[in-house]
Amino acid sequence: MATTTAANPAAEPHGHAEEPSYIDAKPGFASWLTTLDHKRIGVMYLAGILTMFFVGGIMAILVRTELWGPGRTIMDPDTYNQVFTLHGAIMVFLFIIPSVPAALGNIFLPLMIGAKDVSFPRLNLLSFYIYVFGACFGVYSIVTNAVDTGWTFYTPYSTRTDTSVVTMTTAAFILGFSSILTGVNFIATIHTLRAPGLHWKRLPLFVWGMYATSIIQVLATPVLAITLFLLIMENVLTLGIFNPQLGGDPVLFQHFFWFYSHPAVYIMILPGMAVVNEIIATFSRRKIFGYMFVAMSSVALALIGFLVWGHHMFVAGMSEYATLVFSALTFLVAIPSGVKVFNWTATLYKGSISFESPMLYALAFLVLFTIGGLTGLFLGTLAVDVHLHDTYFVVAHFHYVMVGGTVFGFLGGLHYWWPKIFGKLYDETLARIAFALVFIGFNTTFFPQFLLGSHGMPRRYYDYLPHFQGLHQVSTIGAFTLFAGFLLMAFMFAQSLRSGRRSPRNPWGSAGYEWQTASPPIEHNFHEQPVMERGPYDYHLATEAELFAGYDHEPGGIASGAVHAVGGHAAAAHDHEEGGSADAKSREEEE
Amino acid sequence: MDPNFLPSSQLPPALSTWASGVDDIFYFIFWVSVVFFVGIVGAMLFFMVKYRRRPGVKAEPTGHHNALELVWTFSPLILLFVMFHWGYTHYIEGAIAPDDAINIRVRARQWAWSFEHANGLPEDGVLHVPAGRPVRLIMSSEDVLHSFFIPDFRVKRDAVPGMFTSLWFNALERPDIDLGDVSTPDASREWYRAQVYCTEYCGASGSWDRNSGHATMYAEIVVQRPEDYEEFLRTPPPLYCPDGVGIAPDDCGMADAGRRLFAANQKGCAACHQVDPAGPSLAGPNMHSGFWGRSENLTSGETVTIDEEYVRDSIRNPRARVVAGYEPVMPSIRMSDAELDALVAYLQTL
Amino acid sequence: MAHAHADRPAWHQHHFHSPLQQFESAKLGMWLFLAQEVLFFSGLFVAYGVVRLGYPEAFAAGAAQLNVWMGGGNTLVLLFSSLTAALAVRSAQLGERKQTSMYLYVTIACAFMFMFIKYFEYSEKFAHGLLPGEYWHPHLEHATALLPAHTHVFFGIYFMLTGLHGVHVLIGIGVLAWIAVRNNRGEFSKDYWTPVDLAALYWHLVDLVWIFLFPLLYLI
Repeated sequence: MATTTAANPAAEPHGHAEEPSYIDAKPGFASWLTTLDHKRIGVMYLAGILTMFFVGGIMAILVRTELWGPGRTIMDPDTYNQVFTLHGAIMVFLFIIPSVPAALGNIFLPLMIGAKDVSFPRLNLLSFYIYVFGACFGVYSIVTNAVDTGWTFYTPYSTRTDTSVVTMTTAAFILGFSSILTGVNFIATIHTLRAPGLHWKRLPLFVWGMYATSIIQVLATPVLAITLFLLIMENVLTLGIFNPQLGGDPVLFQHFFWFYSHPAVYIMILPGMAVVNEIIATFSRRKIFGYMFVAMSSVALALIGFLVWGHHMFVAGMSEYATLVFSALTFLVAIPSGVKVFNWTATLYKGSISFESPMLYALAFLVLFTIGGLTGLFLGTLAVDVHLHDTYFVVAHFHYVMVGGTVFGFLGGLHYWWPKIFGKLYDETLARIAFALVFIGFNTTFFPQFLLGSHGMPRRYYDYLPHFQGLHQVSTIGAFTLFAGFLLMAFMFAQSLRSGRRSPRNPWGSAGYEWQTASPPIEHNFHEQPVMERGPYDYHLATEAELFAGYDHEPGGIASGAVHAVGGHAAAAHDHEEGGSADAKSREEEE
Repeated sequence: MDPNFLPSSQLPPALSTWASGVDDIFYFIFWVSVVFFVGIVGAMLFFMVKYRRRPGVKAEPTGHHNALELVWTFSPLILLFVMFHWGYTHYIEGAIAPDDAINIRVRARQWAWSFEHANGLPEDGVLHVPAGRPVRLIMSSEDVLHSFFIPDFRVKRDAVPGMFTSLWFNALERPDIDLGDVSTPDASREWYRAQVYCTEYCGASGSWDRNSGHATMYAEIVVQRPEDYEEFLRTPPPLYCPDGVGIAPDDCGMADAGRRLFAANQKGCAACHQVDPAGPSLAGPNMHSGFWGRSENLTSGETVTIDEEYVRDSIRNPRARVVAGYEPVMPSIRMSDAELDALVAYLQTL
Repeated sequence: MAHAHADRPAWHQHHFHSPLQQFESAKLGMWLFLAQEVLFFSGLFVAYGVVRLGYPEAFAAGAAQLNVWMGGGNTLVLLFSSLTAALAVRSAQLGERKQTSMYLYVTIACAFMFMFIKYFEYSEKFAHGLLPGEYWHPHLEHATALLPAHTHVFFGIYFMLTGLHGVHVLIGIGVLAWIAVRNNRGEFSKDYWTPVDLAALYWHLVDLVWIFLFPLLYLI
């Protein structure tokens, strides 16, 4: 019988004194600020990014309110330009890029590979403090004549405006180091700290996703760093490499900027996809279809993603030859994403599917990411992109993939792993209502923007011609609905922390490795080194005890809340599982 | 409710020879997307219902299906290649102007477009073009990035400072618009108009006053019958007309012409100089409330009286004598002597 | 932080179950960090390439203003310092504490020498007004012709490349000094010399960047 000899579940203590969770282990605020525990660091990151999400969200509400009607609604054009720039910069650099890797990844990567921590815990804490420092720098920049260039800082406008370009780009430069160091940490961890028995073909797909993301973080972020550094020097020392009045080339800035920022969008989406893998597997009780294809597609996205940056610049003054190459490569990069969507859909086939709130987010991800991805085809096609570039169509496209994709993935992960992180359950009914508001609000906000764009409404417009007003008003109503959903969600999570029911070890009945530890885990994650004798999605190999640990797993289990002993029965015999060597006792010390 | 409150189609009317080709590709991609979307979401929904969790029913372990994987990895490539190829070939057609295209010079600045026809005739904010003939725009910018976008023609290209970019279009002839008796060419007869937007963010100018920089940097293409266009080139409408020909009779004095030129998308003065005593202050000094004869301190420390000499010099050399407290950001705006006279005449009415 | 257990030395961290695992992790981490440093500088090298293609005459004139002897001297200094850094690692591996310290001190001294020579180079540029962008005001005593129009762009690239490299040299001085302090405290031994190895790796990268920088700016 293949089992993981993982840490004893909370239900079966044997021999060890009841060890406190990582939350209770060392009390006091100061112990959190000097912690080396990856879980505590992840929780601190979570608090930081959720705060930044709220600030960026307020900016979005301000933008949509201003766009309720043509002309002045609540603010002047200069202010509007600053507000939309801040929305972009905060959401990209302070929320989305760190969200899944730094918060959820930090907490779950070691748990999922049977390690006690990441390779470099002190570097991890340093990454967090760099994030905080960068965020403070960003806030300083906001209150001292906030930048109004758009988050893309295109020259020459960014070298002529008297807003705080230098301080905001410095903030982004600092934040880049947080991202790089997290990437370095994760790659080293995944290579060297895997538990015995956990060979690459058994890695949870979340870990593959973190690995691919980290590769991009390490290789792409330094290019952003040098780009921003050159921009700062252009502003401070008037270098003359981007400013045409001094002999420079503004299009060169765009090449530099997008060389990072396109891979950056894969830094954003790969973690969202990574989470979705875990949720779909758990709530279908089935291994993700085409595991190796999905794993390799993450790596493919990471690599091909470096080759397509020019598709942001088709009308910027590049040669036709360059546009040919970039358009072709852009279509190539569509393939791995499509492969994933097909595989996730196929995972549902012959699964045993339940629809608790995490699964709702994962399923919504499938739908919304599909729309976002398909609309990318319009933009990758040269002749059509000429019409759609720099219109609201692009805005709708990237919000579908970044919000409908990454944010929904993040929210799904937050709901899924909430009981593991905090040991508490949240109110499932409230979660479903919030989901409905968020889903409906999101689509109402952004779907009309495809039509605005194809009808010619440009981006970053404070004012617009009257015939666009109808669609703008629908979009604004959607934004407020979305916001309401988030407020309800925040209330629900706060309520859970304050007075939520205690969670069992494995409330979702998942075969994943992280669910074999206590909820919340003890400080060192495991009492003894786990050995992985089965894959993380091998529902046919996992025992009842591993999956349910005395918890009612009938449909609607978590909502019904009944807890009683489950009669054990032998797991169904497996047949054709590749690598599912029930007898493999691989006890190699190192890989 | 305005009948245009919500659009009834995905794209605006296609009004250039190149545009309908773009629309064909657009709709091809659209329908392919619909098919895939319905297929994927349909399969999802079907599986969600059929394989919902039921007591006693276990999920079946995933097996190997490499053949299926390879099929759906590589077969979309065919469709994607079609999209790519079609998009690229049509794009190349749109990038290379025909040899007989007429050239028009476009200059972008914050926040107005100015044009110059091949015979030297300048226009501000409005560009007359002939229908049925290829027109190539040769574009540059005087300050930051801008982008020239005509949705109805489906064309767009950035205007980049320090280099020249170009786009071309051939505006369709529109028999559906009845122009009445067209036996004599008429320089002022318009067939139809197409909206132009700036679509590369280029900043704003301060307080809102019907003008906000990037968002209001509009222009319009006025499409004419070729004979009317030739007539327009030969005999452009006069700047102002003592005898009331071609312009509304009440509106044809020199000062009226100056007032029209003052507008934001003409010479662009209104973007930065407020003439309405009730309006907010903008990026440049106000021109109301005792503007003429006012005494101003300059950044150089000198004092100057606003008179015709100062006004003319400031328009020609905007950064030479800047009023204290203002930035030296006023651009040099091209204008003829006649236009300068008209502007001064208008300013003298304030 | 690090504290000794009965069964493991102080430097062996809790989450690694063997010293070898810890060493391999650290080494991999350092190489990843160096990879991103390479990408950081490569952005600047690309900028160099693009701008040079655009203004070859400006680059030729600008490069002629650079002092090949000082640059060459700095190259030799850095190459030598890389040797001493590698020797420091070797000594640490052999457990030779005093020798390790000596090699580290020589490496640091070379780094200071590099910065010293650089100080003279930069002073000369400043004195002749060979500065980027708006600060360009060349006044050369022995110039027989005017410098080409965009020579200030060359100097922009020059100061960025050498300046950022210089910042990395300064950081290297700090890192090496810290390693020397730790060595003197007896933290390293035959069994544990990883930090010395990692610091030397960083230093080799700093040297390598200069090896590319020197010919591109000074020689061609």
